Amino acid sequence: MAEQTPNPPQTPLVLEAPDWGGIDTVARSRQPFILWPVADQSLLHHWLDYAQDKGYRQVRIHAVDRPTEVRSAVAASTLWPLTIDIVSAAPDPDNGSIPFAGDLPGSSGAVPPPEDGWALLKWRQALEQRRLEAIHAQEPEIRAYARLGRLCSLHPTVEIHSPVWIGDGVQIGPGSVIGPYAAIGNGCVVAGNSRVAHARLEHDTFLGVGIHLEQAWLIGGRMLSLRNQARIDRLDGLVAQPTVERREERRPRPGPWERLRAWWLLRRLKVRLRAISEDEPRPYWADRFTALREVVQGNCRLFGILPRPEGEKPDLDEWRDLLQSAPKGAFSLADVYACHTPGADDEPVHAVFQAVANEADVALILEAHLRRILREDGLD
Amino acid sequence: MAASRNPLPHSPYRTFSAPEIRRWNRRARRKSLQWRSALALAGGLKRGIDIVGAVVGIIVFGPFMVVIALLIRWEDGPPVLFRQVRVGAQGRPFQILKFRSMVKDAEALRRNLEVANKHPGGVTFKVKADPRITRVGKWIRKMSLDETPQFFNVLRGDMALVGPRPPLPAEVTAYKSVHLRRLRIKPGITCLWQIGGRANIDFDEQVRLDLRYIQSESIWQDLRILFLTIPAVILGRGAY
Repeated sequence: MAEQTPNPPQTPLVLEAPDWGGIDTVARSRQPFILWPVADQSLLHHWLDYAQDKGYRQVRIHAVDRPTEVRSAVAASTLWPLTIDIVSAAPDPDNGSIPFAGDLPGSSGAVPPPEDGWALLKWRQALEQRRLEAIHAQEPEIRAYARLGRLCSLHPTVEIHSPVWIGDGVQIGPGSVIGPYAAIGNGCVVAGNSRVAHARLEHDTFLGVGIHLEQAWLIGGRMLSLRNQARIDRLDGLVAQPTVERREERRPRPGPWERLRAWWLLRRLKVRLRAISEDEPRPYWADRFTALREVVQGNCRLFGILPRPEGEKPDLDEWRDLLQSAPKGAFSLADVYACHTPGADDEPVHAVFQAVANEADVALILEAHLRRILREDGLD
Repeated sequence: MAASRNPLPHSPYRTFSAPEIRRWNRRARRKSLQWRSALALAGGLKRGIDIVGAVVGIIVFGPFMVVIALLIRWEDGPPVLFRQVRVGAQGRPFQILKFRSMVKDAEALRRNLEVANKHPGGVTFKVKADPRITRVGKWIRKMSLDETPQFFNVLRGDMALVGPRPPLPAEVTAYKSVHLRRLRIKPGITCLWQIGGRANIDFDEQVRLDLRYIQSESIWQDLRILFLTIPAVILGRGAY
């Protein structure tokens, strides 16, 4: 086990990440499929494990679906001593067949890929089941450490039916039955007399007393039931709830500097507006004073997507959740492209891009845009 | 509390009144909060013990450290301390501090000694009667006093008192994925294999002991390992 790979490969391991963002109509995840959890870690980390085992020193991932998210995940994956490049384009078909990272390493790839949202969830569950079986098939001593995390508290009456995976810092109450094919994420609390089988509890989820969870994926208070093909966005707190506030559920608040900047902008723009004669067309930013006051009061961000109207364009309906959860702001990326009304023209496209893009990059563009507005009158 | 009435007599489920649901919600939140507080307290307590232990270690070993520094300087000149990049928690590199126990160009001489490696073909490098070790170095290695500057690493938060020994980056590149699990927590000055056979046990056994420690980690386990390290150091088991 400790011996070095006799002839480590000199070429990088090239992977093709799945581009399934378009068919993710049920989970509507903020993350591309390669970052979805499969048992103990994300699919990306399973591939990094594979690269490490095979002795690769470099990995190149072709990620078309949300490459920014993949880049952030790779930057946070410091555990693997690998050089990882992300290419935001599909691989060249002339380069021969390259491993498809929508599946677990070492699989035959004979099964047809999913075609809709529920098939995608079933695909993930099938991967998870195979991974749990692989954990169970490991040599007994390694298996003991692989299937149960650290700092866990399991009541003596808890029944475990392999294969299962239980993460770090999990508490399971008396009389609960876990497994088979159960994955309990880090920091979960399972109250007494509950049963989890063929299901996954995402990190930091509380499962209430006497709940029988089967064929489901529970993410905080949201349940995706594969058996009934039903999505419930908010379960009652006594059934399930997040133990910590999740990133996507957090209401974005501006920091003190951002509020100060909004106050300064409000003053400068008012001066700028007074300088504009009545014959000139009214600039779009004259309607953002109320929004800027909201930023000063700490109710919304300075840079974010424009607050959405009730009806959304049908062709962007699949992004509705993403746009609803994205931080709203006084100025948006769409303003740079002369789209100043939410939902009009190409504004939703810019809004979707802004919702998935790096916040710092967008802030740089918008700062330049604001400087341009102020400079037009020599105010900046 | 208002009695709740089951609208479906044949159903095994009963309905709950609004006050009941509120009470259960509060209980659920309290239970989650208690567990999260317990986890945070465990982490805080470990860090607290590390800081207190490192300060006590520096006070107790301070006079020895001064004497060792003077002896190294007298025998082989400066530098007294040896800084090396090691891999810490979550694979993040940091600089470990040690008293220099080898001659100045020890790394360059290592290639000539690969034949005598006690872990051949493995990921670690250990040699008995290493000719690069100085006279003072041999003595401080036997007593494990060359590791005492690591109390400063503990104070800085790079290391803990108890945890898997931090590997070299070159060793980590030869790891299999299962070995990477030992990098999930902060490395330490001493661990289970330090009090067992120390350098006498092979790499696989070291990993197994590290994984066993990581899974059964507790304050009492840490204190037990710390106390058992003292006789292991005094008797010099497996140190060379």
